[in-house]
Amino acid sequence: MADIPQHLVFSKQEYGRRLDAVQAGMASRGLDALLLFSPEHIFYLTGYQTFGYFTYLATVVPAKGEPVLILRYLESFLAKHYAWVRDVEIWDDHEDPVDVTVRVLRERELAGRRRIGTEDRVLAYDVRRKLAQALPEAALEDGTALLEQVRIRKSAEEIAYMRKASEYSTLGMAAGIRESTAGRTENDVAAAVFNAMTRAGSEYSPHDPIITSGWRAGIPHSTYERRRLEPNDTVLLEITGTHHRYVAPLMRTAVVGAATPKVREMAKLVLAGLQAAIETIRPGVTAGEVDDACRGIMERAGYYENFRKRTGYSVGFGFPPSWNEGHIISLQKGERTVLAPGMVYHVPVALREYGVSTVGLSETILVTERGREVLTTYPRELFIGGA
Amino acid sequence: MQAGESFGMAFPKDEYAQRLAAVRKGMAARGIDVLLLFAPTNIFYLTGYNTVGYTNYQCLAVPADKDPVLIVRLLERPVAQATTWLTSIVTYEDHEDPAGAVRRGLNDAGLAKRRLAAEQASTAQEHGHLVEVLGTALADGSGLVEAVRVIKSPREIEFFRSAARCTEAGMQGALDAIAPGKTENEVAAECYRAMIAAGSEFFSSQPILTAGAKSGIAHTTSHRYTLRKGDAFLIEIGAVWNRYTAALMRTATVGPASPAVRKMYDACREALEATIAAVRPGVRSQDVQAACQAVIDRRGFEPNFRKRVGYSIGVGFAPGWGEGHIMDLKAHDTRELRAGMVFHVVPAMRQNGEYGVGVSETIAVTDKGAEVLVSFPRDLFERG
Repeated sequence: MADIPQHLVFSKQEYGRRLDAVQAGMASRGLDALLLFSPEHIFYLTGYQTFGYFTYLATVVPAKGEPVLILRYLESFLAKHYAWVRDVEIWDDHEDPVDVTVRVLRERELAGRRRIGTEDRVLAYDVRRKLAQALPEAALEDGTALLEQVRIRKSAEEIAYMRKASEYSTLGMAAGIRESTAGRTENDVAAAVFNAMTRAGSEYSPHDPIITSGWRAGIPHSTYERRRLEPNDTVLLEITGTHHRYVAPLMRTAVVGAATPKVREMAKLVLAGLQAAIETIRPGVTAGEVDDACRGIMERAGYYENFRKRTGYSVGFGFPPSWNEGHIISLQKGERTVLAPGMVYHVPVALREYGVSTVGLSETILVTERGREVLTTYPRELFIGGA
Repeated sequence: MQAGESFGMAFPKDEYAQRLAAVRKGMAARGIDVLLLFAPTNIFYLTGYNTVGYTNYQCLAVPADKDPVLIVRLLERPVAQATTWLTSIVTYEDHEDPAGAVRRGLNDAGLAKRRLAAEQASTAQEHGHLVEVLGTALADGSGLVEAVRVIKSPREIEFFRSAARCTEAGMQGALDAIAPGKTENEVAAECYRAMIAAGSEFFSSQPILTAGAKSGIAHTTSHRYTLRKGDAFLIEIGAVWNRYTAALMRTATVGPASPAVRKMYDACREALEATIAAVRPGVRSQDVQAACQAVIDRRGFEPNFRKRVGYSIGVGFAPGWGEGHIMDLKAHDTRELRAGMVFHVVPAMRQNGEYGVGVSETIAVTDKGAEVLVSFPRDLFERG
C-alpha cells in the first residue's frame, strides 16, 4: 500500500496559532476538553476535510496538546491527506459513534468529573442527550463560541484564498451574464456559471450558484428550475468560486432586453445602498451602523418592504449547505458587534417587486486597518443585455 | 405571476394528504398532539416547501387535528407561498428570535397547551432555547416522518427517473472529457454543464470527480489535478429533480487500465450485480450486505472493503443526498426491505493512495426484486 500524500492547505504556524487561540479560550473558561462536531471547525483547527460529514464526525480538543479526530473508517484516510493531527480514532458502520467518543474520552481521562465544552449550535440534540447520559459525572456546557470567535478574523493566508475564490467568481459571473439572453433557460445560465468557475479551478462549493429569472426572481431564495428567459426579465445571479473551501460571494443582475423604469429605479437605490454600506465599513463601527447606512436609504426612498432583511453577514470558508457565517455576525439592525481588521463581510443588497422582478448587487469586503478593501472585482452595475 | 407558470407543488394535494395522515397515525400511537419538525427534508416532504434558504431557522408544527403551521424567516414567505399548499405561515424578522415566532404560531392556532413533541435532530442549542421559550418539555418526536418517507410512491419514483436522465447526461459529459493533460476540474466542469443543461436542479450533493492517487482516498474531490496516463478516475454524481436524486458511480482510466485496477473493478461490478440480485421484499439489510461481501471476500479484497454496501436515497437538501439515517444496508442489521424503498448501492474500493474504483446503481425495490433506475453501461471506461 502506497503512502497517502499529505496536503496541508495552511502552514503549520497557522494551525499552531489557531490551536493556541482556542486553548487559551478554553483555559479562560476552565474547560478540560472541547468536543467539536462542526465539520467547518474541525477543518479550521485540524485541516481535516471531507464531503462525507453527513455521517458522525467529532474532534476532542484537550486543554493541552494535540486534538484527536474521531472518524468513520471510510473517512479516516482523508486525515492522512489533509490533517496535521496524527491521533485518529475509528468507528465502523455497525458501531455507535457516540459510544466510541465516550471511550476515547475515558481512555484519555477526560470522562470523569471534568468540564467539557460541546458545540451546541451544530450538535444534534439526541447526540447531546446520549453524551450527557454516558458521562454522568462530567459537566457539559456550550462551547460553540470558542471556535467562532477565532475564525471570525481572517489571516493573510485565508485572505489569499478568498482572493483566488474571487477570481473564479469573476469568471463565473461573466459567463452567466453572457448567457442571460432571451430564449436561454435559467439552467443554461447556471450551467455556464458552474462550467466557467470549475474549469478555472473552483472546487466543491458550499453553495450552488443561485440563478433565478423573471417573476421567479421576485421570489427570494428561488433558484434555477428550467424557466426560459423572456424580454424584460431580470436575472439574479448570486454565486461564489471556492478555493480550499474559502469563498468570495458576488451578486449581480442582468436584464434581458430593456429595463423597465421600476427596475432602473431599484438599481439606483441598490447601488446607493451598497455604496453606503461599503463607505461605512471600517474598524470601530458596529455591525448595526453598517446596516443603518444601507437600510436607511431604502427606508427614506419608501422601499423598506422591498428590502426588509439584514444588510450583510460574515463570510470566510464554508461547507454545504452554506457559505455564510451570519450566525456568528450579521450586519443587522441593533447588532453591537464592533468591526475589526481581518473580518470579511458579504453585503448583498437586493430589492424585490415580489413575484415580478428583482435587482441585487453585492460585494465581499475585507475590513482593513484603515477602512476596507473590496475583494470581489466585477463592474458594479446593472447589465442590460441583448434580447 | 404569469398564467400557466408557477412553481407549483411537486405533488398533487392528495399525495400530501396521504403522507400527513400516515404521520398523524404515528403521532397518535405515541400520544403526540403537535409534532414540531425542523429537518428541511421532512418539511419539504409534508408541505412542498422548497427553498435554497433552508439554513435559516424553520419549523413546521403538525397538529393531530388542524392544518400545519409553517414558521419561517420573513424573506421566505413568498417562496413558502409559491411552493406549499399551506395556508398558515408565520414569520420572524432577522433581528427577532425565531423561537418567539414558534410560540406565537402555536398560541394563535390554539396549540400551546397540547402535548408537544419535537424532532431531536434539531440542534442542542435550538432545542434547549425552544423549551425555555415555550416553557414546556418537548417529547421525542424523531423518526415519525422518516418512517413514512422510506417507502416511495409511484410519483416519487417518476422524479427519480427524471433525475436519472440528467445523471446519465452528466456521466457521459464527464467521460467524454477525460484525456491525458486535462485537469480534474475540466472534466468536472463538463459534468456540471451537461447535468444542469439537461434540467438538473440545485444539488443535494455536488458531483464528486477525483483522479490518480487521490481517487485512492475516499471522499476527496476535484482539486485541479492534471490527468496522466494510467490514472484511475472515480466519478460519483447525482442529478436532482424536485429534490429527488438519482445517484450513479462509474470508473474510468486515462489510457488502458492496469491489470490491478481491472481486477479490483471487476470485483466491484460482480459485487454490485450480486447485491442487486439479492434485493427483494422481505430480505434483511444484513443479507444484502452479505451478498456483496461474499464476492469481495472470494475475490480477495476484504481488506479494501470495510463499509456498508448502500443506503436509502430520496428527498435531499445539501449537504447530502442519502437517507442512511433512515435505512441502510449493512452488517448486523436485521431490518427487512420493503417494496417502494429506493437504495443507492455502491461497492467501491481503494488501494489507498494509489487508485480507487467503484460502480453503483440507484435501485427501487419492487414486488418481485429490484429495478435499476439509471440506464448507463457498467463498463470500466478506458479513455484517451
